[in-house]
Amino acid sequence: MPNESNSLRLAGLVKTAVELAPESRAAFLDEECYFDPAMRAEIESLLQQEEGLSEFIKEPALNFVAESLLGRGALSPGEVISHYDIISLIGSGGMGEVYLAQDRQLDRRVALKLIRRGLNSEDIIRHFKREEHLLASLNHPNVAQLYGSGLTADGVPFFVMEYVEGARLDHYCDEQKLSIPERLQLFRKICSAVSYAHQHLVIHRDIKPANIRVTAEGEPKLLDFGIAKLLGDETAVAEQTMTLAWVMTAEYASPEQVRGETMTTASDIYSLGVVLYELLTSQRPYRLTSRRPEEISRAITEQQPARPSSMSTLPQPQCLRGDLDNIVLMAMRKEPARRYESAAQFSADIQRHLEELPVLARRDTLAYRSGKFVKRNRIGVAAGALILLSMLGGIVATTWQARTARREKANAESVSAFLEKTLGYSNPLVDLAGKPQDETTITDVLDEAGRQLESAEFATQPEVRADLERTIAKGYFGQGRRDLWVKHLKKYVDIQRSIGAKNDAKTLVATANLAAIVENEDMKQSETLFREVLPQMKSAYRKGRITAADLAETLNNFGYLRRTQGDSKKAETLFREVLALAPKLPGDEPFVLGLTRSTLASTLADQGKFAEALQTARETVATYLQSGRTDTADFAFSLTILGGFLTEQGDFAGADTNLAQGEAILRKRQGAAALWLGDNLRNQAISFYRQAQYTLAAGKAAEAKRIYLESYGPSYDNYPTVLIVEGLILNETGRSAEGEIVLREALRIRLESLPKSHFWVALAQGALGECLATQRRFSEADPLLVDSYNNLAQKLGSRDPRTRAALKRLIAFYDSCAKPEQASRLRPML
Amino acid sequence: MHSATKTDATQILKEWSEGDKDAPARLMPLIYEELRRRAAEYLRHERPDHTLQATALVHEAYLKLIDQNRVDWKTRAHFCGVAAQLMRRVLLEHARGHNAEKRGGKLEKLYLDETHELSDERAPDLIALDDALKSFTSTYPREGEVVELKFFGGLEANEIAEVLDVSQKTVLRDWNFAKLWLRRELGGDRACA
Repeated sequence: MPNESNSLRLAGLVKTAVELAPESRAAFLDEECYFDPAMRAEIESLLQQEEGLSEFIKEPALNFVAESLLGRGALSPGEVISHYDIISLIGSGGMGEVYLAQDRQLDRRVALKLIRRGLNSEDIIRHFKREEHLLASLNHPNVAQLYGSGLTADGVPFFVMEYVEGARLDHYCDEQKLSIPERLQLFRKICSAVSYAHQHLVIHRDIKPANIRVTAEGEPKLLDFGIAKLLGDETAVAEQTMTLAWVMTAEYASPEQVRGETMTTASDIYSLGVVLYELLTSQRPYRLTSRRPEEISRAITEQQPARPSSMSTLPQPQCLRGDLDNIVLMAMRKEPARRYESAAQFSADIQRHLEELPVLARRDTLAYRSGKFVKRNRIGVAAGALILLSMLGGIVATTWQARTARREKANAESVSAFLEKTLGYSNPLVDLAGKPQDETTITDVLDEAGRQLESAEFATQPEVRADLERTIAKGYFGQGRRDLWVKHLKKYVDIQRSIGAKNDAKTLVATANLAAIVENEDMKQSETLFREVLPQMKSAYRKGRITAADLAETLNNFGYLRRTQGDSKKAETLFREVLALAPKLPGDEPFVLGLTRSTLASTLADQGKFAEALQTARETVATYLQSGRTDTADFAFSLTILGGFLTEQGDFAGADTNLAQGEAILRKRQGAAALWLGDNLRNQAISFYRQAQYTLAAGKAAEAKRIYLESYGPSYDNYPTVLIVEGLILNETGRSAEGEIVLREALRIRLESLPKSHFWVALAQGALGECLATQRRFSEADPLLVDSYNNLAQKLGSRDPRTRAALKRLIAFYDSCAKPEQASRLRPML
Repeated sequence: MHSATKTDATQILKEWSEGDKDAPARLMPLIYEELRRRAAEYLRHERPDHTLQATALVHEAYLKLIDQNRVDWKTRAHFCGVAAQLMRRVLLEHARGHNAEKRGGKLEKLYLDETHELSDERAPDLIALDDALKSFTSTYPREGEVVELKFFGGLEANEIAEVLDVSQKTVLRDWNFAKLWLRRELGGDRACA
C-alpha cells in the first residue's frame, strides 16, 4: 500500500469484512473496491489467512518459551550470580550444568559452568586460584577463553568462559560434508590451539569432539582448557572410570591416563590423534564388543587401532592409505615418548602431507616399536628447546599484563611448583641452575637460558631462538631487570625482523616491541616505528591475525609516548581505543584496563580537563573496590593517580589516605611494581610538601628518587618530577643553593627530551623560578615564572589547579620584589 | 520487595499519569527486576510443569510493585503497557540466545557431555514474529500495540481496552486484522499455533 490513507482504508475494510458472513463479503468488496482492484486483491490475500486463525498466536509468547526460559537447572533465568545474569540453561553433563549468562560489568555473553555438587568445592577453588592466571591468560583465536571463577551464594563453584556459538566438531564436518583436505585444515587449527596452550604450560586433558566447537565462520574453538585438572588430579580417574560419561568418551583418553599415570603434553597429542582418527573415518579407533570399563581400558592400553584407511566410511578411503594412516597412528602410539613431540610437529606433518612432501610419520613396525628407530640426533636440540620454551611459556603467559601495564611478575615458587605438578617434568630448574629448587630463582633460569641461546646449536634455528629470546626478555621484565629485558627483546626483534615477512603477524608485534623499547633512547624513531606499524596492526587485528592484546599493548605504548611528547590529546584517543577493545582482552576488566584508565585520567589532566580526570580516577578506584581486586599493584596505582589529583585540588586528607593505602599494597610487591612504589612515594612527597611537612616530604622524595634510579635510571619520565619536589623542599628548608642545582638538572632533562612548549617544562621552570626568587635573584626568576605561567595557561587552561598555582606563585613573586602594580593587575585573575 | 521500591514505583506511575515523560525510563528497571525475580520463583517452587502464565506474572508483579490505594485504573494501564514491552524484550533476548544454539541445522547444545541433551519445544519463531510486528507497527501503531499487549504481555481484551483507552470491540477488530497481516507476512499457516 503506497500511502497512509490507503493503509488506513485497507485496515478498516478488512476489519469490517472479517465481521461479515462469508456470503456477504463479495458484495461488500465489489462495492467498496469497484475502482480499486489492487486494494481488493490485497484484502483478499489477507482474508485467505483466515482459516484456523483463532489458533494463531493464541497463547501468550511466554507460554511457548517458559520451558526453555525457565530451564530445569539449579539456576533459574533471571537469577544473578555475582555480576552474571543467568539467561538460560544450555547444557548439562557429568561435570555440572552450563548456562548462557550476561556479564553485567563487561556487557557480554558468557558461558557459566556450574560444578556439580559433591565435587570438592574447596579443592576446586584452591586449584583454580593457583592456576587462574595461567588459564585466564590463554588468549588464542581457537581457544575459548576462561574468564574467571567464583562461588554461588550456596558455595557451589562455577567457572566463567567465553560463550561459543557453534556445532560440535564431528557434527560440523558431517553436516558441511567437508572433504578430507578441509577436515585436515580444520584440524590443524585445533593443533595450533593445543600447541599454544602447551607453550603456556596448560595441558587440556580432556580433548574430544564434544569439547571442540566450530563457529558459523568455520573457526574451531577448544573449550574447557585445563578444567579437567581443576576438577581433580589423576588419581581420581580410576573412580571416574565407572561413570557413564566416562564410558562414553573414554576412547579419547590416553593409555597413560587410563593407567592413572602422569599426564603430559603427549597425552593431549594422543587425544588429538583419536579426534583425527574419527574425523577421517567416522569411526572410533577400537573394536569393542561391549562398553564395559575394563574392556575399554584394555583396548586403549593394548589394542593396536585398525588403520584408518581400512575403517573409513567416508568417500575415497583409499586416499588415507600411507601418510595419513601413519600420521594418525603416530599420534596415537601407546608410548608417550614415541608420539609427535608437539602439537605443532603433528600439525606440520599434516601440512607436509597436504603439500605432498615426505612426512615424518613412519609405519609403526615391530622394529620401530622395539626401539631400533632412533632419531636421537634430531630430537636432541629441538626437544631441549621445546621443554625450555614450554617452561618459560608460563612466564609469557603471565607477563602480557606486566608488559602492558608495568606490573609485577609471578614468583619463582609458583612457576616451579606449577612445572612440577602440572607437567610432571623432573624439576628442570634444578638441572638448569644446579641449585636446589627452593634456592633457584627465575633469574637463574633466565641467565642459564640466555647462555644456552648463545651456543652454536641455535644458529640454524632462528625461529626457535627468536621465540626463546622473546620469552627470556619477558622473564627479565617480570623480574624488574630492565637492562636485560631490553637486551633480549632487541635480539628477538632483530631475529624476527630478519626471518619474517614485513607484514607477518609476529614481525608486526616485534616491530611494535622495538618501537616501545627505543622510546627512551630516541623518541623520534619510536614515533616513526609506531606510525608505521599501528595501521598494519589494526588491519592485521581486523583479519584476526594478531590478538586484541597485541593491539592494545601497542596502542598503550604509543599512548605513553604521545603523552611524553606532549600530545595528550592523541594519547587520550589511543587509550580510549584500548578501552574499546576491553571485551576482547583476556582476564578480568579492572585487572587489564584499570591501568589504562588511570593513565587516561592523567592525560585528561594534562589537557586541563581536570574535573573529568578526577572523575575518571575516582571511577577507576571505585571499579576496583566493586570487583574486590584490592590487593593488586594495579589497584595501588589507581590510588596513586587519584591521590595525586586530590593533592592538586588541595584535598590533602583524601590524598594522604589514598596514597598510604596504595603504598601499603605496593610495599608487599617486588619487581616491576617498584616504579609504582616510586610514583606513589613521589606523590606523597608532593602532598607533604604542600602541607609544609618538609621532613616527611624529604624522606618520601629521597626514597622515590632512589627507586627511580635503581629500577630504571634518569631517563624515567617521572624522574625530573621527583627532582623538582626535592629541589623545592631544599628551597623551603633554607638550602636554596642546593635546591637550585637539583632544579636546574630537572629542567635540563626536560628540555633535552621534550619540546620547549611542553607543560612538564613549564612546571620545572616554575620551580626553578621560585627557587631563584627565594634567593632574591629577581631578574633571573622573572622570565622563568612568566614563561611557566603563560605556558600552563595555554596548555592546561586558566582554571587548571596547576595553572592557578603558577599564577599565585607569580603574584607572590611580584609582591616580594616590590612590584605591587603587577601583582594587583594579575590578582583578579585568580 | 522492599516497601521503598513499592513507594518508588507507585510514585513514578503517578508522575507519569500526571504527564512526566521520563517516568517510563525510571519505571522500567523496577518492573524488569520484579518480572525476572518472579519468573525465577515460578521455576523453583510453584509450578512443577513450568507452565507460566504471562498474565499472572504481570499481574502479580503489579500487585507487588504498586500500592493499590494510591493509583487509579489509568496508572494500572500504564503499568501493563510497560510490562508488556519488557516481556517482549526479555522473551526476544531469550529466543535469540536459544536460537543461536540451533545454528547449523539440528539442535546443538553447548558444552554437553554425551549423557544429556535438552529437549527443544515447538514454539513460534519469536524472532521472525517480532520482526514482522515491528514492520506492522510502523504502519499500524495501535494495532501493533494490541499485539504487543496480548501476545507478549498476556493481557485480555478488556484490559487492553483499558490500557489503550479504546472500546473492547476496537481491540478485537484490531487483533483480528493484525493476525491476518502477520500471518501472511510470516508465510501462511505455519506452526505458530
